[in-house]
This record gives sequence, structure tokens and C-alpha cells, in this order.
Amino acid sequence: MSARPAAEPAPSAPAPARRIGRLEVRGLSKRFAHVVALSNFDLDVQSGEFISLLGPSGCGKSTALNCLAGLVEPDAGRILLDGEDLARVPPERRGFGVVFQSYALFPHMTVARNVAFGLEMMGVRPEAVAERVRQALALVHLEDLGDRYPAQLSGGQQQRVALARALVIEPRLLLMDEPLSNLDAKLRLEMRLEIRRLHQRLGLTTLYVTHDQEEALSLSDRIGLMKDGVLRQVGTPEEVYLHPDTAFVANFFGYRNVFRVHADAVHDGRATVTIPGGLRLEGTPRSGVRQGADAVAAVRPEDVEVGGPGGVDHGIPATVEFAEFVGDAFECSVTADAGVVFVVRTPDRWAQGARVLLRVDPSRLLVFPPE
Amino acid sequence: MSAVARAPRARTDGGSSWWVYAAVAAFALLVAGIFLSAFLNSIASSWFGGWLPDGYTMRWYRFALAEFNLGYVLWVTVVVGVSVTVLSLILGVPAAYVLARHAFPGRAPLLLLLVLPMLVPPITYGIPLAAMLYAAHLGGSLAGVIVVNIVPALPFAVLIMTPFFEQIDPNLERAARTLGAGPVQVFRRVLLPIALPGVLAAGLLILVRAIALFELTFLVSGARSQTLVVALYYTAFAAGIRPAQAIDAMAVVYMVTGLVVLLAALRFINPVNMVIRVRQ
Amino acid sequence: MQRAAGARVGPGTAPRARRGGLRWGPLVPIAPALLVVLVLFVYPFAYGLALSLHPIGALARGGMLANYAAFFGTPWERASIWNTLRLAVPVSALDLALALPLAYRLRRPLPGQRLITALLVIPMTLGTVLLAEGMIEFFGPAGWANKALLALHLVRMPVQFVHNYTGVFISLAIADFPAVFLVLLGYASGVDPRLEQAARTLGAGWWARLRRVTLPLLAPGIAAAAALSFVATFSVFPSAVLVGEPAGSTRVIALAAWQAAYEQFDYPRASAIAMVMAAIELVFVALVLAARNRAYRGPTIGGRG
Repeated sequence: MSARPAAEPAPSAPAPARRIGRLEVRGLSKRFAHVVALSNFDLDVQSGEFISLLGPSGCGKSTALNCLAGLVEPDAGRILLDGEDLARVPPERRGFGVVFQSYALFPHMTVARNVAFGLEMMGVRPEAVAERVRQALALVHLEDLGDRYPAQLSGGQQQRVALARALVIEPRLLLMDEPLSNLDAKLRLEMRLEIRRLHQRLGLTTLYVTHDQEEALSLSDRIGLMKDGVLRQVGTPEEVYLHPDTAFVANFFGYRNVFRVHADAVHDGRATVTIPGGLRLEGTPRSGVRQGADAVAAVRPEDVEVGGPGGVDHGIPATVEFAEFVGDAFECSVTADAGVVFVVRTPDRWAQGARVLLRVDPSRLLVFPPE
Repeated sequence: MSAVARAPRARTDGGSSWWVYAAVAAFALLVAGIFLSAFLNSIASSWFGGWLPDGYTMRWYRFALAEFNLGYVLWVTVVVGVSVTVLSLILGVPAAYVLARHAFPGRAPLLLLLVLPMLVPPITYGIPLAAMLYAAHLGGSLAGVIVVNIVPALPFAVLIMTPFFEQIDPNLERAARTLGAGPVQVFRRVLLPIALPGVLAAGLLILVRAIALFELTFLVSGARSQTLVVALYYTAFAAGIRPAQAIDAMAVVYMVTGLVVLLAALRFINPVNMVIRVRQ
Repeated sequence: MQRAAGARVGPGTAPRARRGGLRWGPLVPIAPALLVVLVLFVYPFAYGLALSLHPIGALARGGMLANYAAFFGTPWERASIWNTLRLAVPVSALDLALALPLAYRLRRPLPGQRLITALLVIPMTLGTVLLAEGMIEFFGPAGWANKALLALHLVRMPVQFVHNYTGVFISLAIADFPAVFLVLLGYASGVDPRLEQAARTLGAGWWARLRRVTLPLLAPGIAAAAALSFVATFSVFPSAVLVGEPAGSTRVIALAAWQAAYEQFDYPRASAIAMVMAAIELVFVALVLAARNRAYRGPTIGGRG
């Protein structure tokens, strides 16, 4: 079975994206010298799905992408595309579109020639090439810039050219390696919308690598969180955001209050934990938490209720250290009398030194096994 | 040499790099063969056409030392080489700095002008220059040889140092200025320490080249100011009178001098960085 | 010197005075170098040019261009141009062809990379005379090269490698290689490897990558190396005498100039010949630069803001 899509004359409407049935990755592993970059990476990607690999630098997400693209040879594991093992297939015949973090636009070719490159490699007829390039540039709103050279474009424009170049070949799989990380905040938001729009319009199966959790949440059908070469949790954005499996994932999604605790009691979907210093809390355990053992507890700033001494009838006594106005709320650093520091989010303005009572909703204090 | 974290290597590539080793080995063998032939000859008492000399001796080196005044010539070579290097650095480093930091009208033609002496044969300006030096009573003297060799050495210094300065973040100097440092202090406390290793490395490279500079010294030198390369040429050219083994001995000394400097340079510079890329 | 990826440092804006116009102060440090070049190069060069236009002796009656006319008019003098081109162009081409794949491969790490690079560069220290003497020994009738060829029965009689065109060719090729290699290595390391990876993901096989991406990006380096190599080999002199046939097929143009100066003591004619040399070299460099500009535009780092 040929791994390359055959050349076709372009229809007048955007060509339908080639669908892959299923991508199965099994046991992918890679080490560079003494560093384990990727360890036993398993993933299934459905046709048309937008999957993000999310994690800090060095977690192995880019390595996984490079293995899929064929640019790096894994030490072990298999990649199956509709059942076909890609191990024998070099990158030039996989038919994947790749958008690199640094864009990798050919500096000695115009924008149009850059976009046309993949089509020329496929052997598409020149008239068809010109038409498809035009359509691809229109897709990314760069119709008039075909004759410019990459050095003459802004960062955002270059990024869009890189996108057009990958899309025009109608790839079976789109691989994007932190494409937005070099853009400023405003541009990043704009391009994120563009990418989302393009995915909805073209329905391309996409693997997206990023360290930005906002991007992952807004773009993905599913997110895979990685740390130290291992895939820790895979799920829909809602799943990983609301129900993280581990402290690492929780921390990634804004559970900024993370404490090492001792799990005093665990039963019936409730855990009682003690933070060293004497503070006792009730929380919801995730799988793997054992009674009497060490654990990690985490809660979001917005899930900690702050009330004045008379407002709530019970709570953890604490003092406000300082408060930051962040536009729609105040973020305060609050130290409990027991010595534990909480970051809380509250609509009220608290003065420095004010005495407050903190209440933590047990269903929002998650308890995880230690890493 | 250990590869600590090797960059991801693409598939089906670099797997067959054996040809690199083969090509390098072939080249090295050829060069080694040529060198060894001369070297063995220089320590041979006689060599009548077998695979190896018939006997060994150091007497040719002693002969060269005495007959060609090798010790003195070596001294001249070192003095000339070092002086030319130092002077071209003194002239070239500030020039390279200016070229690296400032874009001004005429920068490109100026760079071209500074580099031009390297692009034209030395004879074109060598003969008139020699005449000028003789007229200034510098002909045949050590000073004359030094002055004349600055002309091809200076462009080399500029070419090496300009990209080097371009690579140093100009914000470092600006930061120093905002902290109250005047130009001299900026130079002494900020630029010099950062630039020094590069300047030294460049100096070594210039020295390697300076030792080999032939044509101009040839035109200007007198009996008391010949550098090794010129003296060597004279003895080789009049080969009928001198024993070939003695010439070889002298030539080996010449090579070893250059080799020592080059190896010193290679210790501090990766050849990949050794190159000058002229800006577009 | 390699630029760190993404660090776009370079000449800043021109120093401007508060009231507009150019401040010349910061440009002062370049003055001494400029002065030296003007006094010790431009002036002698111009003087040499003038000298060549004032023929002496028998040619004095021929007008200002007599030296040039005599040079081009005498077949055996004119032949020196051809003799030199016959050496310079093939040697440069050969060294480029050999150095390019090596430099290209060596820009990526390889076990023993530093040793290899050192080995390829050390011939720089050999010097013309050692190379020549060594070649006379090594390639002579009783030398190792012929001995090996005879022992392997590849030839039946010793081959004449020296005191002819072949000798000078080999000598130049060896002497010229390190510089060509270094220049190419420097440029090759400046090419962003991601560009080739991108080309692969877009379906380009090794030949397409070479033709469409690698070579165009290396064009500036190839041009620089070609220019450097030609200039160096075209000025060949000592080896043409020591391992060549200075009176015959390897009577190179530098030798013609030298003979005019030091055997006939006709300095104007020597200058004229030197000017012809310079002109040929500059024409070649100009041609190479023009060819490069057609092949390529822009920096070698992949487009990144």
C-alpha cells in the first residue's frame, strides 16, 4: 500500500482532507546518550481528532512528534497507520504535514515557492500547483504575499506560511511542534483561533505539541500530559482539568496550592489528610492513595472560600499577606495560623494583615499518591 | 570525544559515513607519505632507492643549522611572525569592531577595500612597495620585512575578527554605559575580557599564515632578514649545490614550526568556527 | 565564526548625532587600518599601474600600452596565461568537488570529528618547499608511490609524476584543499538542519533536497571557496618551479612577472604582467559572485522573525 497520496488536479472547492482511519502508537521509546527522552509511549488517535501533547520542556513531547514524523528513529515501539507499520517508511513518504517551531521556511524561495514545494515533490502539474498554492494562501489569509521572501514577513505571517505549506499537500496527519511559542500574546490568541477554524473546516487529524495549557484546552479533543518521557494522563479537556489523576497534572492546570500531606483516613470517597504543621483537611482521593501513607493534596485558588471572622461560621484562621488585583478578582497570599500558605482567589478586597477564615470544599481538594 | 546529548538524527542518513573516513584516510596517507619521504630523507645517512633509508643520522640538521644559519633564520621568522601578528591585530581589531557595530554609508566598499590585498597577487603591489621601502632605507631590513607583510595579514585579521565582534551582544556595552562607564572603561572592563580569547585565537591563525607569507618577504628581504620560508626557497632553488637531505631537514623544521602553532590554535578553536563568513 | 541560532546581531544603526547627520567619532578606530591599506597597498598598486604604462628599453617607443601589447603579442608570454588557467581552474574545481561533500557531512557530529578536521587542515603548515621536496622523493622513480604501483602490478614502469604538469597539479591540490575545506565547513554549519527536515516531510528525496535546498543554501559558501581557491592557485609560483617545468608547460604567469623583474630588470613590464594577473583574478571573482547571486538570495537560517 503506497504511503503517499496520489497527485490529483485540484477541484475548485477546497479538497476534502484525506482521512486516516486510525493511528496507533505502541511502546515508543527513545534515549539520547544517558537521557531517556521517551518511555513506553502509547497513544491511539482517531480520524479527525485534534490531540495535544502537553508538558514542560524536556518531557518528551517533541521527541514523540519527531518519531511520528520519521525524523527520529525510536529505539523501540511501533507506529501503525491503519494497520501499516511505518517503521520502514522514511519521512518523505509518510504524507504527514509538519509545522516546525522555528517554521523552517526555505529562505531562498518565495512564499509561493515554499508552499508549492510539497506539491512539486508529489509531481502535481504546474497549473494545478499554482491553483492549490493560491487556495492554501487564501486559507491562511496571505493571498497577496506570494512573491515575498520569508525574511520580509513578520513572525505571524511566517507561521501562517508554514501552516499553508503543510496543509496544501493534504496530509493524512498534521503534526505541529509548538507553532505559536515564538509569537507575542495577542498574535498567539489570533492564531489559535485560526488553527481551530482550520481544523473545523478541514477536519484534519492533528497532533499538537505545546507547553501552554490554555492552548491545549481550547484546541483539543483530547489532551495527553507528559512528564519525563512518560505519558501521565490522557483525556478530554474537561476530564484532565476537573479530574486530574496526579499532582503533576493538577499543578499544570492551575491547582496552585500543592501540599505534601499524610493521609490519615481514606474511605468512602473521602480522605482526611494532615499538612505538616497540624492543619487537617478533608478531600477527595484519586486512585492510588493509601491510608496511613504519604500523599499530595492540591486545591485551586478559586476553590478556597475566604470570609471575614463573622461571615463563615467555621474555617481555618489565617492572615492576608498581600493581595494582587488581576482584573476580575483578587489573588491573595494567605498564611494560616498553622503556618501553611494558601494562594486564594476572591472577589473581595482584603487589606494586608486582615484576619480571615478559609474554607476548602472537600470535593475540590484532590488528594493524589506521591510522585 | 563523547557525544553527550546527540541531536536527533534523521532516518536513513549518516548511517553510511564510512566514505568520510575512507576519504580522510586516503588524503592523510598521501600527505603523510609525502612528508615522511622528506622527513626520512632528512635523517638518512644515505638512501639508495630501497623502501627505507640505509642508515640514520642527525647530521643534516647540524649541517643545516651551520650552513644555512638555521638558528638565526628561525629567530628572524619568529620575530617577523609575531610582530606582523601583533601589528595586524592592533590595527585590525579596532577596525573589525567598528565594522561589526556600526552601519554607515560606505561600509561595504570599505570592507572590500580592507580585504582587497588578499584578493590580488602580491606582485601587483609588491614591486612598487619594495621600491618604496628601499627608498626609505628600509629595504633588506627586518623592519622592512615586517612592514611589507602587514599588508596581506591585516585583511585576514579583519575578516576573522569582524564576525567575532558581531556575535558579542551590543547590549553588554550599553549596559556598561548606563552604569556610568566611559568608552575607555567599557573597552577595558567589558570588551577586552570577552574579546580576548577570540583575539588570541585569531592571533594564532594569523601567525600560522604569517609564517607562510612568501612573495613579499622574497621581494624585500636581504641576507640578514630572510624568514624561514624564503631562505628555504633559496636553498631549494639552488639545489644543485646543496645536498637534498639538508634542504629536507630545513623544510621539516619549517613545517614543525607551523605545525606547533597550528595545533595550538586548534586546541582553542573548533575548525567549524574558524571560518570567516563574509556578510551578504 | 558561527552565529548562535536566532541571535541576530550585526551592525547596529549608524551612530547619529543629536541634530541628525553622521557622528564620525565612533568610526575613528578604523582609521589606522585604513591608513595602512592606503599607504602600503593602494598607493603602491596605483604606482605599479602607472609604472606599467611607462615602458622602458626597447619597448619605450611603443607608447603607454607597449608592455601589455608585448605581453599579449608574444605567443610564449601569452601562453603563460593559459598555462596558469590550465592549473588553477581544474585544481579549484577538484578541491571544491572533494571538499564539499566532506564539509557537508562534517557539520554534523561524527566520532573523531575533531581529529578528522585537524587532519584535513594540517597540510596548511606543510609549506611549498617541504611539499615539493617530499613529492620529489615520494613520487620519484624510486619513491614509495611508484614502488607501490609497481608492486601491485598496476604499471610496468615508474610513472613520471614530478617535474611536469602533474607534479604542480598535485602540489596545488594538496596545498589548496585545507582553505577550501574550512570555508565550506563554515558555511555548511550555518545551514539550518531543520530546513532539510522540512524538505523531507514535504516529500523530497535526497536528490531533490540536494538540488532544491542544500546547494542553493550553500551557494554563497561555494562562491567564496571558489573565489579564494582560484586566487590562490592562479598566483602559483614556487611549486611551478620546484615540481614543474618552469621553462615549458608550467611556465605560469607569476613566473613570467618574476623573470621580467629579476632576470631582465624590466620593472614596468613586470608590473604590467602583474596587472594582467590581477585583472584576471578580479574578473573571475566578479563572475563567481554574479553566478552566486543568481542562485540564491537571503540568509541561511530558516525564516523566523
